[in-house]
Amino acid sequence: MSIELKGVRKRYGSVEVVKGVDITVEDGQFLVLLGPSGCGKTTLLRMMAGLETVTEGKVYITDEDVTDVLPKYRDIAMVFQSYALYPHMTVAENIGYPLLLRKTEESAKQKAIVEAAEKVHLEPYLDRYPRQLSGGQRQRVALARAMVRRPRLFLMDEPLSNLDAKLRGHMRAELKHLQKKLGVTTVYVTHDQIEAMTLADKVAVIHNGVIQQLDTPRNIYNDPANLFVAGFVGSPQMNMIRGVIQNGRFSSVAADVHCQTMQDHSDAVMGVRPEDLTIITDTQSSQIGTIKARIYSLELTGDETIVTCSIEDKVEQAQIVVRMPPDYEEQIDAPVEIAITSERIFFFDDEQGSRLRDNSEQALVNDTAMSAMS
Amino acid sequence: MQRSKQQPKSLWQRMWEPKDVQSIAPAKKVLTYIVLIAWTFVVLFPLYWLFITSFKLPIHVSDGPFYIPFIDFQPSLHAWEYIFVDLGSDTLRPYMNSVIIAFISTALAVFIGSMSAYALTRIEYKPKVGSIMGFIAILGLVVYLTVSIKMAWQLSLSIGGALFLMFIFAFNKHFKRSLNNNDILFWIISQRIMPPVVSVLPIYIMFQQSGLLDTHFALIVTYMAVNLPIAVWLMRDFFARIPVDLEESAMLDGASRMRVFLTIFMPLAKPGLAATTMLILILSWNEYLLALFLSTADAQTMPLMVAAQNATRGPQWWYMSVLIVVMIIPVLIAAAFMGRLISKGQLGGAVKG
Repeated sequence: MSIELKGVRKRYGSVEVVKGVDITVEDGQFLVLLGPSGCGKTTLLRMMAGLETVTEGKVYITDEDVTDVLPKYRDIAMVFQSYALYPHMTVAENIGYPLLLRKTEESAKQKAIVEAAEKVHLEPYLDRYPRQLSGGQRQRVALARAMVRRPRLFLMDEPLSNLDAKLRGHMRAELKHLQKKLGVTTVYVTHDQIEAMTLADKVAVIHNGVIQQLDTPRNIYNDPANLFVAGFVGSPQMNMIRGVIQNGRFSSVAADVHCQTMQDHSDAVMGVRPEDLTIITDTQSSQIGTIKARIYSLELTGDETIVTCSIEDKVEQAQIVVRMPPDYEEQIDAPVEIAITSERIFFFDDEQGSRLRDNSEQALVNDTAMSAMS
Repeated sequence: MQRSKQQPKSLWQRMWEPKDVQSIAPAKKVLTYIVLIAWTFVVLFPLYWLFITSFKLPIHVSDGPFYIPFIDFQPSLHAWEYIFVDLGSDTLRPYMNSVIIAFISTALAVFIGSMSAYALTRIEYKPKVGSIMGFIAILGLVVYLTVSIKMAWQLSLSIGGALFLMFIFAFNKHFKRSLNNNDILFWIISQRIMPPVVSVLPIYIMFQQSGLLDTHFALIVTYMAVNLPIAVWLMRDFFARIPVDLEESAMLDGASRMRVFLTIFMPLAKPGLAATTMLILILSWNEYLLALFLSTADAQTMPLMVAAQNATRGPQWWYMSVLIVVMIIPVLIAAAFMGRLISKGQLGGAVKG
């Protein structure tokens, strides 16, 4: 079943939290609404569910206008961040509640409950109460309750955010597996960009009630539409360096890069991801460009070292993050040279945040030394 | 600062300092128990006195005080005989009246009160001040038409109703100022601020005019109305604690509001329901003033019966004691039953954890 939003707006008094959103989710697709808190993503989801009225615009589920239809007639299942389990009912009763409301025959109900419980590995806990379960088990009860009646649509509002990191990774895989197996169209809200990247068929990045970019995770990462998307997606964040594009060169306080096909621009921002940077020794040189910096801190995560460097800059104390192999070591405050290793460099308008694109293919030519400010 | 090694404490210190943070110092413990025992005595002695008085002869009461049966005085069953054998059905009738009136009015007050409390926590009301003023003005007009112009009340009410509908459709959306749920709640509670004496005469006349004086119906309706504000007020707090997510989840699962109320809210608010029921039951059970006005014989309740023992010959303590002892029993049973519900926490594991 597909769901479609057409020109949807939501106002609370004079405050507009959703400002004209168009989304189509195809049958069986997994759409993630990604954005910082307060961006309107949960409101959007709640409007799909019918828990929030739509100020303007239309909501369609498989071409049927449900804008003014009560939640209970929409045949939607929702998993809440809080799980919203009924504390006075056992796990089996919780899972069976939607079937009870549909007056399903008792034997069919029991069968469906057991089937749903099996899918999320909860069979041994059917007689327990929610308070006797761990966070991850409660989460699975909520999932089973959503799945038990084969709804037209799954809506999930940050369902993993109350779990600890290890369990979250496990449940993420489980969720993706179940969604593909059941083939139910799913809309998933999160502020965690890793969840968005790993789960989604398509990601809608939302900011200030507007969709910034609606695309596949790969395109969102490799071809961000604007400064917000570039900065929000990716961890550690993309490094942003402010400067000027003039005569095919991007220059900052003490650096410039050739970007021959770019139009001249006085307030430009260059974005480059931490994995496209590396710290080089004096004997090495870069084909594309280098940045002079000082080591600020080193964080070993196990499979890599995240190096934060402070940039030599008179105006602002800025930082730039570089991903290095785990065996990289250096003294704090040591002067280093950072090289750009990939041509995946993005330019944005500093004021509007819009992407600056060249006419032909983007070509970047290295210039001698390049320092930066951001 | 000097951090000396553990020095042996003096006896005085050990008396007044707790062993660890979870315990109480011995001396303080002793003091606490003295106070508690004294208070227990204060609470229980009247009950004891009541109980033994019901077995005393009038002479034991007037020549007393006598404290211990079989030693100070020889207990007698004469008062019990008088109340249950001589009076017989005259005791049973008020007793059954009390049971019927108190339990039915409590059940109604708690159920209706819970529903309005639910509505006040989950639905946003915005009555316009202008519309309320209009309603009051039209009500005044209806009273004027009926009382001064002697119009038939059916006619004046119909006119008022029609006027009010026209008024609402024409003006409601133009009024700016509106009240909210808290204003409504305060209005409901304010009904209880006024002492009941203020309204007892109008209530009396109302039932007199409708020929319902001295009926169960009159007392049930009145007690229910009087106790509704308490039910709404208490239940609203309990309902407000139930996470909205539960309700929204149930609605998406296909439940109607009534279904959500009955299968999610009421079970979860069990401790609150029990506490509210208990409180209102006690209030209705002991109510005297309204019963005094609204009942004479057929619907007479126990508090009136007890008071009636203060007859021309002076207070007959022995009869009163018997009546009060039997009056306590149903409330004790209800309290024991409700107490178990009150102590049970219900919301564990609802959200997060």
